[in-house]
Order: sequence, then C-alpha cells, then structure tokens
Amino acid sequence: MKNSAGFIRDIRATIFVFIISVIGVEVYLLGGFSEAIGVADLERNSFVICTTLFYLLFCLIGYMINLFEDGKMAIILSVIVALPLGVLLFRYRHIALLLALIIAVGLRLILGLISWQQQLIKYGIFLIGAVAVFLWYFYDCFETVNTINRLLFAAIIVISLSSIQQILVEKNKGEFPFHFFLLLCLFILIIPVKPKPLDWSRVQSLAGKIADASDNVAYYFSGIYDNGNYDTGYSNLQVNGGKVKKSNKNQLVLTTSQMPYIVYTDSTTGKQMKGRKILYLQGQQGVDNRQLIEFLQFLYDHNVDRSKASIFSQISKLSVEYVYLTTGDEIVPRGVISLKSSGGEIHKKGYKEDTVYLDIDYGSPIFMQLCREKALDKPALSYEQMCKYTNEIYRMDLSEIVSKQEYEASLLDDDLSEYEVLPKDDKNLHDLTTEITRPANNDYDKCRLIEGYLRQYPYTTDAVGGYDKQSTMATADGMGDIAGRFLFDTKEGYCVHFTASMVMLLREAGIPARAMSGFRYLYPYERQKEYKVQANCAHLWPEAYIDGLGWIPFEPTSAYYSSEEVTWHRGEGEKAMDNGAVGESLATIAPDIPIDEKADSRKVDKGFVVTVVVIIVLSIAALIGFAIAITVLIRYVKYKHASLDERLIIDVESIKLQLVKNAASQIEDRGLLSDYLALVADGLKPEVQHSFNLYYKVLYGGKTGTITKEDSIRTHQLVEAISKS
Amino acid sequence: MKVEIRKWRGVIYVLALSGSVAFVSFYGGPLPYVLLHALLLLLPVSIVYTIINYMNLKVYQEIDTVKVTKGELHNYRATIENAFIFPVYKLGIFLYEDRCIMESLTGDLVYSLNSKEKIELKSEIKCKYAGAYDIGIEKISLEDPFGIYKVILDVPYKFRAVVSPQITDMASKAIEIENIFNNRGLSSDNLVQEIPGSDIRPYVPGDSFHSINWKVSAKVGDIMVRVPDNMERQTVTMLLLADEKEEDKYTITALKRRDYFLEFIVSAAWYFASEDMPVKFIYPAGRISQFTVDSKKSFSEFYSIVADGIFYNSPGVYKDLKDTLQNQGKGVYGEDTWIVVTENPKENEEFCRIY
Repeated sequence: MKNSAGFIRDIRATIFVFIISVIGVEVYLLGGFSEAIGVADLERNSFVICTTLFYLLFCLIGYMINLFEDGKMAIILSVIVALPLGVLLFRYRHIALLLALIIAVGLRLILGLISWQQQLIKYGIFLIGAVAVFLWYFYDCFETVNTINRLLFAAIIVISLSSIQQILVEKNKGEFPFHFFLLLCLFILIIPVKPKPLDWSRVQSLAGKIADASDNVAYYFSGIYDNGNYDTGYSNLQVNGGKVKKSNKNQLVLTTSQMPYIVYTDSTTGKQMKGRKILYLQGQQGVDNRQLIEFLQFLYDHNVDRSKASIFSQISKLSVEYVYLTTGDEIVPRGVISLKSSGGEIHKKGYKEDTVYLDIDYGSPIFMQLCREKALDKPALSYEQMCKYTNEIYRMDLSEIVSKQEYEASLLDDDLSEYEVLPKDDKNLHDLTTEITRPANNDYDKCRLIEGYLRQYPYTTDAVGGYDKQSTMATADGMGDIAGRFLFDTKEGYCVHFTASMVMLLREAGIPARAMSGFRYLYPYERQKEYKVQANCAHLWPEAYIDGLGWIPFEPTSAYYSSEEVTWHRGEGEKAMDNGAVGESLATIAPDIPIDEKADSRKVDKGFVVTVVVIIVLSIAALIGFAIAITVLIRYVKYKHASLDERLIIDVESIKLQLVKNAASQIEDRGLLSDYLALVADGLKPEVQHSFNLYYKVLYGGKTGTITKEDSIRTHQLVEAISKS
Repeated sequence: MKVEIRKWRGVIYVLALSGSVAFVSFYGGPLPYVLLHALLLLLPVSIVYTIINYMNLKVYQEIDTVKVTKGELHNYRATIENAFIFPVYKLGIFLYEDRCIMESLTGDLVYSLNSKEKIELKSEIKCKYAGAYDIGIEKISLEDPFGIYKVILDVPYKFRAVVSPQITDMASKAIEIENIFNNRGLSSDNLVQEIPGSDIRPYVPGDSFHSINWKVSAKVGDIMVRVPDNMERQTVTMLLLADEKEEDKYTITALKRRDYFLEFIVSAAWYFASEDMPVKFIYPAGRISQFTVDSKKSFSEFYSIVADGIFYNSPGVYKDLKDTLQNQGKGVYGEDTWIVVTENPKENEEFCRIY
C-alpha cells in the first residue's frame, strides 16, 4: 500500500514535470535563448517527451530500489544511470537530449529530496497554470490542436482540480485519491478538440424547431376553450358576427417577385408618391375559369386593347404557403387563373401553391367608366378568337389555362338563383334598397351607391350577430338576420355585418350577390423576401354579378380603403379629376344613415374624452421631458469627465450648432471652421477665432494637454454667449 | 439507494460549467475545450468511480455464537475490504442502531481504504429484540471528490442474527394457569399421572413409604400398600397466530411486536414445563406445525427453534391456522383448553384469549 501511494505520488510528479518542460520549452523558444544555451534547434514535442520519459525512468528505477533501500538514498541512486547516459549523449552530440536528461535529473532530485514536494505541486500548479494561460492569451502559444497541447492542459486542469479539492474541500486534512483525477484525464483525452469556438447554429436551429413545434401544439389546442368568442382567422361562411378578438397568428406566407407598392405622381401636389398595394385572397375550390372568360369577353365588348387593358389589369404571380391554417379550401388571390401545388401535404402546414392571377384595379376610373358604359353588341368570341385576343391583351396563351370544352361550357348561362335568395321577412331591407338606389340607372351604380351608404356605418369588433344566435352567413335567412340587426338596430359592426348587409341589399335590388371569405392583405412599403399574412387579415367582402362583366368585388367595410382609394393611378391626368367628380356625386346622392333617437344615451362622454386626451398629452410631455433630461444629464456627465482637449472639441461643436441655429439656414459642413466664422457676430469673432485655432491645434497638433484651463473656460463661456446673441 | 445533493456546491459547479461553456463559445483550441470536457466529465466520472468502489467493496460480518440472546453482550466483528486498485475515500458506515447496540462503534464512522486494503471493526454487540433480523452494518455512503453528492447504499452483504427471547414470567400473570385447571377440570387421554389407588397388596421391599395404608395395615397386622391408579392429566393447547404481513416485518414496530410475542410464548412454555404440565403449541413454521412441551428437555428444544422458526411460506397457512381453532372441543383434542396468542391483534381482537 505504501508503495502504491508512493507510485501515485511519482505519477503526479511526472505529470508536473511534463507541464514544466512544456512551458519551459515554450518560454525558451519565445525568449530566443538558443544562443545563450548553445542549442540551436530544439524540437518542442520531442524534447518534452524525452524529458518526461527520462523522469519516469528515474521514478521506475527508484521504485525498484525502494524494494531494497528506502529513503532519500533511493532517489539519489535512481539518477545514477543518468551519468553513463549523459556521457553517451554528449559523445554523439545529441545536445538536446542531453539537456532533457539534465533537466530530468535536476527535477528528480529537487522533487525527490525536498520534504514539501506535495505542497510544491499543490500550490505550484496554480502558478504554472497562470503562466500557461498567459502565454496562450498574449503570445498565442499552445493554440494548435495537437497531442502535447491537449496533454498539457489536461494535466494542468486535473492537478489543479486535485489541488482545489485538497485545499478548499478537505481544508488540507486529506485528499481524494489521485486515481480519480488520472481517470478523468484519460476520459478528457479521448474526446476530440476543435480549433474553432463552439458552433451554436445547430442548437439555435433546434431551438427554433422546438419553438415551432410548441407553437403548433399551442395553436392546435388554442381553440378548445374559447368561451364563446373567437379569434380572427380564416373561416368559411359559418360565422355569426359575434364578438371577435384580434389574433396575430401567422396563417399564410406569400412570396412574389413583384413590387409591393405602386409609384405615381400626385395630381394635386405633383410629387412622386408611393402607394401600398392590396391583395385579396379568397378561399375556394379550384380555379374559376368562367370568371376569366367573362372578363375577357367584357374587354372585347368594350373594344379594350392592350394599352387600355394594362391601365387597370395585369397578369401577376404569387406563391402562397400555409402556416397555421386549417381549411379544406384553397386560398388563392382573387382572379386566379392558374394554380399548382409546389410542395407540402395538401391543406396542411407547409403546403405551398404557385398561382397566376389576373390582378384588376377595380377602382381605376377607366375601368369604372367601362362598367357604366353599355357594351357594344358583339357576338361571343370563338375559342380560337378568344385565345388570339388574350394573347394580344396579355401575351398569354389561353389554351394552357382553359380547354376548348371548358371555354364552350363557360359560354352557357350560369345558374345564379342561389345568389338571389332573399330572407323571409325583408320589407325593411327592400324599402332601404329602394331609397338608396333611386338615383342609379345601371347595376354598377346601384352597387356603388349601396357600398357608399354602408361605408357610413362605424366599425367595431365588439359587435353582436343576428337576433337568432344560430344565424350565420351561410344562409340567406341568417344573412338577413345579421344585416337587419346591423342596419336598423346596432348600426356598428365589422366585415361580416357590412358584407351581409350589402349582399342582402344587392339582392333586394335584383342584383345577384354573394359573400366571399378570405384575407385582405396590405403590402408593406418595402419589398421583402416573404410577406406574412396574419389571422387579423381575415376578411369577408361582397361580390355582385354584373351582367356582361361577371363577379365584381366591393368593399363596404368602413375600416378599410375602398377600391377607389387604392387605385393604381395608372393613366391619370384629366381622368383623375373625372374620378373625383364621380365620387362626389355619388356621395351627395346616397342618403345618410338614419339617426337613432336613442343615440343620445350612447353618445361618448365629452368629459371622458377630455380626460383621455389630457392624459395622453401629459404622458407625451413627460416622456419628452424625461428624454431631454436624460440627454442633458448624459452630456453634463460626459463633459465633466472629459479632458480639457475633449471639452474644447465639445464646446466648438456646440458653437457650430448654435451658429447654424442662429442663422436659421442650412449650411453644408465642409469641415472648415471658416464657414462658421462668417456667421459669428463681429463682436465675438476674435474670441471664436481663437477657440477655433485651439481646436485645430488639438485635432492636428498631435500633442495632448496643450489646452489650458482658462482656454477651456473661455470657450465654454463663448457657447453661452453665442446662444444668447 | 438515497442520494443527497449539496445545493450550494451544485450551484458552484453549474456556474463553473456555464463559465466554461461561455469560454469555449468565444475561444477554440485545446485550453477551452479541455476545460469544458473536464468540467462536463467531472460528475459522470465521479459516478463511475463510485460505482466501481461499491462493486469492489466486500463486507463480512460475524458474531461469536450462532444464536444470541436478547440483551446479552456478544462479540461482533466486521471486515471491510477494497478489492480493487482504486482507493475508497471517506467510506461512511451506518449501523442498525435501532435494534442493536455497539459498545465500541459510536459516532461518525468514516474510513478510507487504499488499493486492496482491508480493515477490521470489532465491538461488543447487544441485540434489543428477540427474533430473526439483520444487525450490524446497515448502509454505506460514498461521495464525489467535491462533495456535490453523497450516495447512501445498502451494504453488499447483511448479517442476519437469530436472537432468542428472554425467559420471564410475563405469561403466567396473563394466562392464570391455576384458575384454568381448578375451574375447568379438563383432561386429555394422552397423558396420565399416578395417583394413590384403592387396591391393597402386601408390602414388598422397594415400595414407597407414602403408599403404605396404615389403617388397613393396623387392621390386618401386616404392612399393606396401595396399588396406584393412572389418572388422566389435564392439558392445554396454545395456538400461535403470528403476524401474516410480510412486507414490513423488519420495521421497529414489527420487531417489538415479535419480541413481545416470542417472550410471551417462551414464558408460557417455561411455566408449563416447570410445572410438568403438557402444552401443545400449534404454530406456523412455513406450514402448520405442532410441538408439545411437557418437560425441561422439550422446552429446551422448543426454545431453540422458536426465535426464527415462526413464519409462513404461503398466505393460505394463516387462514388454515385460524381454521384449526374450529377444532377446539372436537375430535382428538377433546375438551382441551385453548389459548390463542395473536401477534398483531386487530381492533376487536385480544393478544391472548382463552377458549
């Protein structure tokens, strides 16, 4: 047991010797001691290994001698073998090896003969470790990933841990067996080491995946307990118009190469303006080619050529990816003409579709005018003629989208009876429709008048549905109930109420109408890689069927821009003024919504409004005041702790700012103080010139501490003088 | 197995580990990674070291006699050996202090063993309860180098002692044997005792002087002796209903109960044996067994088996044992007195009941 303990002590000492030799060699190579010692070439790794092996050899010899002879004699006898070895090495001029031998002998004698060997290793390791870290940090030593460097730091760390255990845990009253730390060292050496820092990107992506997964779970379970309310988000027509709360969950991701905004010249100011585009996405099953064909026929009937068509229509492309959306419908842009799946499981998260659609500017004055004009009585085009016409208008091959059979089928009259169904009790609706549409002399104007009338109603999401809780947008009676309550009772609501009302009023006016559900997305001003459509973009809007034109959408919801307000402004000039005139005339014709006598009781309390406004104003004032105070404080502290040179620079900059402010004009900073000198009042010019000269001295003089305290004070006083002048 | 974690040391360790992770996030190369690996591996290697220590720890315990008596001092010896090259550091020893007293081994017992080292612990031991149970070293504990955790494990080999109960007079007071026989006058057809008879014959040298009938001798003019008759002796059956619950039979409560139970039985047996009164014990020794104690010799035999001889080898034995009570007053046992001793009586039961 005694021998075993001694053996472990020798192993620890050998490791210590290894550390010393590695660091010693490194210091030797860094310090350039080769000439002094007379060893020109010293191969680091070999030298270290040799020194360690020599020391280990002496330990083994000592171990064997210990079986016969105990005590310090065994240490001395163990290095006897170094003598003949040394002579041999000297004879054959292996100077580096001889040096290693000498060092090993020296260390063996020192560590073996001193009684405080253990204390030396215990406390010395911290010093050695600090030297190693110092060399690593400041001289880039031991950076290469090789066995010696790994062994070095493994050895330093295990001996340090052993020392820490003895000193801090055992309070020098015992020590945990060094066998444990040797085992630890072995395991450390097995694990490979990288030259570069830890790469967290994989962890980050994993964390992202976990976050997505938890979002998925949260999303799919979020609808379980909704307490009778529901979040905004895409749904079919099974909505009842009850209270909603806004949700910003991502439902779709759009990708398009087209610009998200339009650029036009404002006719009033003549300035270039940027207008955000609006995209309507609707839920439907497949592509409705009939709509495309009707529209093309409409264009043909109105002698629309390519240039005229391009004012209010264009072919666009869009990719739609489903995120947190659960529906069996395909969400496509309005006017879709081509739809292809491009990945993911259908209708599930990740499902992607590439669409091509005919984007129409329904608010374009040209288009609106065409809608009002009576079409020329032309026969329906044949398939071939239509293909040719489409190619002329849009440079598009219609045969790739619509087959001849589909084309001929679309020419047949469509059954629109389901879009003309009215609720049972519709007298009020009928009377209202008659009143609203009296001035109109065509179906399109009727639609516009109804739309204008409804846009007078205020918008709120804190609304109620129909009188019957079962009423939904899926049936005419349901829509009628919702519309009736909205139009004559509550007089406030959101898209569901506005759409239900317009559909009912249109039907009362004899115009087939339907409700469409989907999303209304307002593009940002800047182009992005992808555009996220959130649940609060979910929307309902009405469409009216105009004979000879097809289905036209309208926007009666007052919270959103109408189609005229988001027109592309193409082909404007005097036409813009015409558009304004038409808009005005309709506004004066449409009656106001009737005032409810009970509205007085629901009037907003003026006192409350004043209170709110005062609070907001005070808050803003306090915020501004706080921001100013902080800025002043920071400037003051910065100035106080600045050197005289720095203070001068700050003061001169302040002088420049103050001069510009006093002059109340823009000045281009060419870096010349003479420009600013011209703005100074005559009385202060000499002083300012002096300060400017000091400034140049500080900046370009190359010396610090040239500014005196008096100069600094004078310059500071100048700032105040100029601000007062 | 129980693991105790020292929270503050754990926190320091976690902080050091976090620091090394932060260090390696900014710098690559041997130093940061070796430091990280060292700290990461510290606990796992400690656990491996602990397991190796535990697996190579041999513990042998013995007492100077095979069977000990409750309350008496005996010599105890434990040998603990580290059979591997990895030394064991600060091995904690935990004794069964609730059931036995070690005269020489007290306080914190912490030992360190070098490679292949053996230590011997000697002491006098006194067992507190009668019965068969483990004594001596119960558990050992091992720690990691930095004291972050301490694991307490059962000792690899435990020592089972068989402790015989003390012989006292506790049963005689409870049973009131004299009254049982005076009142009942019951008898058994198995055992007989001699009583003076009514037949007369002439005296033969060797006859007891007590058997001389002086009245008849005076009348006849010659010494006449009575011819003895055999009288049936009265007997008792003791039904020992030991506790049938096996799962907690080594708790202190169970040991105390068993101790009381055994002492009562042995006391009763001793009393009957000293009065030359036969008592039949029906008890579970795996299956239902019986033993008659009617002399000091038979008592010694019974005494030697009672300490560890009462147990059930299946749940049905307890039920069968209870059913034998139905035989009281019938068949072979006739109208014997039955004393039922229940080790763990329920609420409506008595510890000792006489039928």
